[in-house]
Amino acid sequence: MGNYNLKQGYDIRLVGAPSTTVAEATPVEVAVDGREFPGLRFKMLVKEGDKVKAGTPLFQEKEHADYCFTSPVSGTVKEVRRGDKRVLQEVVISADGKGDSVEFPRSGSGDILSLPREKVLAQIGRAGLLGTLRQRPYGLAPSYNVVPRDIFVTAINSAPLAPSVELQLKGHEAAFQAGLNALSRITSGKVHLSIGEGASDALVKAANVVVHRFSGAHPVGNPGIQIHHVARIRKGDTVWTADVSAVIAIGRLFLEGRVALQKIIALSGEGLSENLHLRTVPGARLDGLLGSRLKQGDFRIISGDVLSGSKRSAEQFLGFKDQQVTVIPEVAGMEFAGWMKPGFGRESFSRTFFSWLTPGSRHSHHTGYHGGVRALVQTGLYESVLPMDLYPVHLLKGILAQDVEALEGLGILEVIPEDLALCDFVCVSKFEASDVLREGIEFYRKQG
Amino acid sequence: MKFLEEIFHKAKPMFTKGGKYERLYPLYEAKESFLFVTDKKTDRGAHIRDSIDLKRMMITVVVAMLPCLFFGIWNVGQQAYEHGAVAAAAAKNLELHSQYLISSRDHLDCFLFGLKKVLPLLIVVYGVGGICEVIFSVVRKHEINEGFLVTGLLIVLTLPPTIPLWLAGVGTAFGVIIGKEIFGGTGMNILNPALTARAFLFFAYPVTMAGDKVWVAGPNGETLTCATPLGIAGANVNKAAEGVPLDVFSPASGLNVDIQTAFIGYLPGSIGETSTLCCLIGAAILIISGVGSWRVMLGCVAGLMGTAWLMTLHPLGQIDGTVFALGPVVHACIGGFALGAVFMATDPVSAASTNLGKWIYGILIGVLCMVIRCINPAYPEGMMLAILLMNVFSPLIDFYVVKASINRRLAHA
Repeated sequence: MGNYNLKQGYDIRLVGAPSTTVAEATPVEVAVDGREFPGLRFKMLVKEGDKVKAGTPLFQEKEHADYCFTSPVSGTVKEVRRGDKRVLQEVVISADGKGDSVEFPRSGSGDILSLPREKVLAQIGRAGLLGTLRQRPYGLAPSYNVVPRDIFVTAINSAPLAPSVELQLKGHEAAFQAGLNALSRITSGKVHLSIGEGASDALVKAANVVVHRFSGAHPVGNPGIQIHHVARIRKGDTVWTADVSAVIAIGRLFLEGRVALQKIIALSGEGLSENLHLRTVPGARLDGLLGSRLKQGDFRIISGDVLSGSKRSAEQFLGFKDQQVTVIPEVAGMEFAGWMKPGFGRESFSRTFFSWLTPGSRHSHHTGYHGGVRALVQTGLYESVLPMDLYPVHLLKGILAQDVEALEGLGILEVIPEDLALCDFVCVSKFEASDVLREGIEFYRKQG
Repeated sequence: MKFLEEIFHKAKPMFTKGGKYERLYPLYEAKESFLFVTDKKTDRGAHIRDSIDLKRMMITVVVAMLPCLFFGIWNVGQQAYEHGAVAAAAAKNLELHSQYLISSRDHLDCFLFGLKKVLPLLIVVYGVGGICEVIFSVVRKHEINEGFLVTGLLIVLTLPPTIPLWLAGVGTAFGVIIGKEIFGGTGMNILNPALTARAFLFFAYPVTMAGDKVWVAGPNGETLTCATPLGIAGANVNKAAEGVPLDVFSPASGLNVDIQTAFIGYLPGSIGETSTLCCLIGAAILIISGVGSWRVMLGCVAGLMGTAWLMTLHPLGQIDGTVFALGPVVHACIGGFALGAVFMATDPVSAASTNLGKWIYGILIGVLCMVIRCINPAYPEGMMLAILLMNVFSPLIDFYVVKASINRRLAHA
């Protein structure tokens, strides 16, 4: 048990936080997108028109038959979309609403602890749940052959307008513990569970894990930050990360013997007439989730949070690992002399706008830059929103200079774009820090 | 404002790629972003962005400097009448003497007199600097940076009110071009451009920039010389051997002020440097808004005060009236220290960028400033040179701070 009180970071005071209501959303159409599992190559296992159950493999990792990506629902394969060079994009399934599932062997929560590693890994892999995990460095889909040094489970959602971890956990406490047991079998090291302040008993008293208590502002909930403080990633290390919904799904696989990917997401942002939680499956089509709640007008639908989510249209699908859908207004027109106004209603990490006089207030944010792109001025703002022993500006300059030798020392193994997304937000020069990091990671992987 | 927006939207194609005035895009961008906040949508990275931009940040610094500017303008008039009256009395012109004394108590009169001196300077400095910025951004094809709003005002604050306008223009051009643009423009410069301008004028035209004495603009356009506390205290070091009683703040020394009035800024000197009080107001604005680094400011103060205390332990520090004996508080209130610590040392581009580096950088500026004030016989004031010297060293400080982080990371690899 460790206590970590992080001083750097910032919670954006955005309007549109979800209420504690949990609504049901039965998906009509679901897609599993191969592009969401970076670092892998696939072999297709189904074709259009095939009947599938929840847990039926749709495609597999090219080298390993036990590393599958399965349908979250029962139904029919409607379409297999491919891109350039026939690279798999997404498999779209029309759900039949029956909820049939492929059967898997069941184990009691305690029995999982005596199962051999290969068996646990193979069952998680065949059920398509390995893809719910992430691998560091670089934030890729897990590699089947790698034995992770540790597995980090984050039970903190610190992103703007994120869903409640406790709602996610409610009713699935036993499955959560079973999932932790399973994860403890597939790492050579420990399972680390990071919890926030006021966490429930299911988290505080979790067994077979090392519990770490974190407090602070976003990005405290990001696994990258937690790993940095608990046990840094060094060259040659590989660790896996998981969120609470992934652990529950793995637990249910062993306890119930079926693939149950249902999770609770948040419908956030001022572009919706109602902000609440929703029980659905990964990859659900967004218009089915948003329904009539989507307001009329020019809004941006984001699968994920406003900092690191991806822009989608209503006809596209919820990201496989995303825990929220955020809808915010697009910027509408130029604002006259905006930079001169006192700014009581305009949020800023700095206190150059008078909104700092009302610290409890929440603010509307649109998708505008609020200013022109300028030469990068080292204001020290990046460091104040990144609670790590890492100098982001120097890392980014190293990337721009393509200084391969320096990048490891500067910390490229320890961060992924989501960890630097707040730097994008606070930057006065409107520099694209997280996007440059994304390019840098790609560059570094190619060199390595 | 819709119609203005439409004018800009219509004009934009002329300035963007392939347009008739493509080369002048930086000018268009500057005008547009001066009037409007851009409607450009985020398309990579975070979807929402902080309301702050470089313009807002720079304007905040300008606002923080306004107390210094307004006080400085008033003080130019105040000092003019005050010292004009002394000069008139010396010339036995009692009528003029009493007339100046009356004027020196009329705050509006003082302010208007100061305005007549400072406004032309502001116009020349902003004009010359603005032209340099535009030329470089058009040639280099990048946006015009707002940093010059701050640099321009800083240059004016560091000049004596008597400086010829053409020299102010030359100095500004030197500061902007040699201090900033040849390194690649805003964000790339090593030295603070405003201090580069001042240092250039200081060394190239010493007669107009003052050494151990400063120039006061006389009421009738004449130039009066006047002693400064640092000049007197520095000269007192040489008199210490004579064993006569020495003093800095006394009519006998030619400086009819005390430490309280020195703190408020009622002293002859460069336009904006005299008032420690106004600098503190500026510091408060910068620190509360989060724009200026409190680490640098506090580091400067700690370095200066610590060294000033050490200087009092020196044998010369035992003799009242020498620059060694002034002590921490007096040293912090006189000369250009406050203006430099608050507005110059904190320039994010030329200062150290790491938090630990900022402490080291700030403290060393304070230490160096005291070392130059006390130990170097050539310059009574050391703040400008201390900051410029540390500007040069700040990348090295950052290098070692970052290197320490890298070593911690690689230690167990």
